[in-house]
Amino acid sequence: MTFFYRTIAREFLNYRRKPGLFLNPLIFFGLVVFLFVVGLGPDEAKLNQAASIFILVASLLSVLMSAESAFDQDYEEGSLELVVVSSNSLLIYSLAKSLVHWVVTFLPLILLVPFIGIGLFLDVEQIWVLCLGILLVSPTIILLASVGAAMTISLPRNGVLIGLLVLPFYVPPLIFVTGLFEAALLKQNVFPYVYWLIGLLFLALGLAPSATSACLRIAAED
Amino acid sequence: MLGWFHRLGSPKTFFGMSQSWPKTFGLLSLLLLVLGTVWGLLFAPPDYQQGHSVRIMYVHVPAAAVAQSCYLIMAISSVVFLIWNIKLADWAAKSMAPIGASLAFLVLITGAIWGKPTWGTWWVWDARLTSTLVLLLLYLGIIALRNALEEKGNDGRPCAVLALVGLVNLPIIKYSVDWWFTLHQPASFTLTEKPKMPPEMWIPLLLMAAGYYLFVFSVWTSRIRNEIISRERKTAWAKTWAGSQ
Repeated sequence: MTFFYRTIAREFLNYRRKPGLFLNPLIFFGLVVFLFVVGLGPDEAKLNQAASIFILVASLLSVLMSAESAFDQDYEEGSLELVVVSSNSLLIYSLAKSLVHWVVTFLPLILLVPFIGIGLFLDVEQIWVLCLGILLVSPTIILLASVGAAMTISLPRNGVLIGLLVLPFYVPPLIFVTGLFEAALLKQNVFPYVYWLIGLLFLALGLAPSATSACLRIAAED
Repeated sequence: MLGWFHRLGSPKTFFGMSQSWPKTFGLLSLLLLVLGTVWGLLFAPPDYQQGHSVRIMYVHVPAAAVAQSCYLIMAISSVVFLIWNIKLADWAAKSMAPIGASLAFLVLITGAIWGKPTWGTWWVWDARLTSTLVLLLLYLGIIALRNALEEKGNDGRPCAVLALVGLVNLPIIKYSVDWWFTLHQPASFTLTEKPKMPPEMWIPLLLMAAGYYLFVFSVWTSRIRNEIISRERKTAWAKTWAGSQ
């Protein structure tokens, strides 16, 4: 387990030294939401309905932005190769990476959601549901993005490519989060959607790290 | 069994073995497709509700089935490549991606053409249509990744992983969008039940489906053969083969 903690500590140090790595995607997230709102106009009912989509799509885009740099540095400087040849598990390495990635991108984002929710005229209950939805779906999003990042790690200018590969996989999370939010708007039972999101989360947690570490191994061996 | 598997995995043996496959399967599929098309378009009865517009079914339904089968075949090739590290399986997966993508595209186009007279619209955001669109996007992603990898001279292992991740995700996409609005009719064919349409309609449909499969097989093997010969062109056997042509 110490390797897990060491990787996490190293990642946090990395983000502390380069705050742009997580601040820029966050600002980008705010801007995308802002553009959506400006485009849709100030109609309260419309904004209410579309709130979950704005926030989710903007967060997907900002995650893809930061995913690009998730493994890049380790690959360039050779520490990824050291992990591969050492006895440490790549699975643990990629899990630790994803965990830190989640903390630096989604934790501030979830804290921002209430403020954005006020701007979109949501009531308190709806804001709670939206936060819950983002909380449940965000690990899935991060894990899938890490697979995409690991797949394209050896390729130059991989940002667009990650989006191309990963965005189709975001269809189910998008459907279930918007379904959850719509159910909350209509005061219906939200739990089916919650269970689905938890199911997706565990599926991603079970499979994505293996895919990520397989891709990292391939990249390091080439 | 294992020996056979290994021999099939050798590019040289496969190349020798598959010499006549593209032509044979191509001719067979041409025969079936012509038969099915003529039967379906001219002689099969029109639908009691949809009239003659139902005839696009003979192009649309087999393409839909085959586009999904192509993904399955590609994923199986990817598994074989990842586990046994057989290069030929990688090339097989590579050769399948554009075929599957074009079939998925064909499904969407013919579906739109069918949708206009029957549903009154080219496109609806319906479960089936959306998941087929996602299938097309997956194919495009795999092709894009393949191109980028080859530009750098890497092999297709990340592509194989992507195909597998897509395989896991496909049923989820299918069922998650099923919860949306559904306008599309249920499957025309199931293995377990007797078809609900008269035999004059489903026999040409079956002929078309068989023709599509043979067509895919013919194009696929010919693409694999091209891949083999372009990669192995420096080897002695390839030169001998080229000399004999």
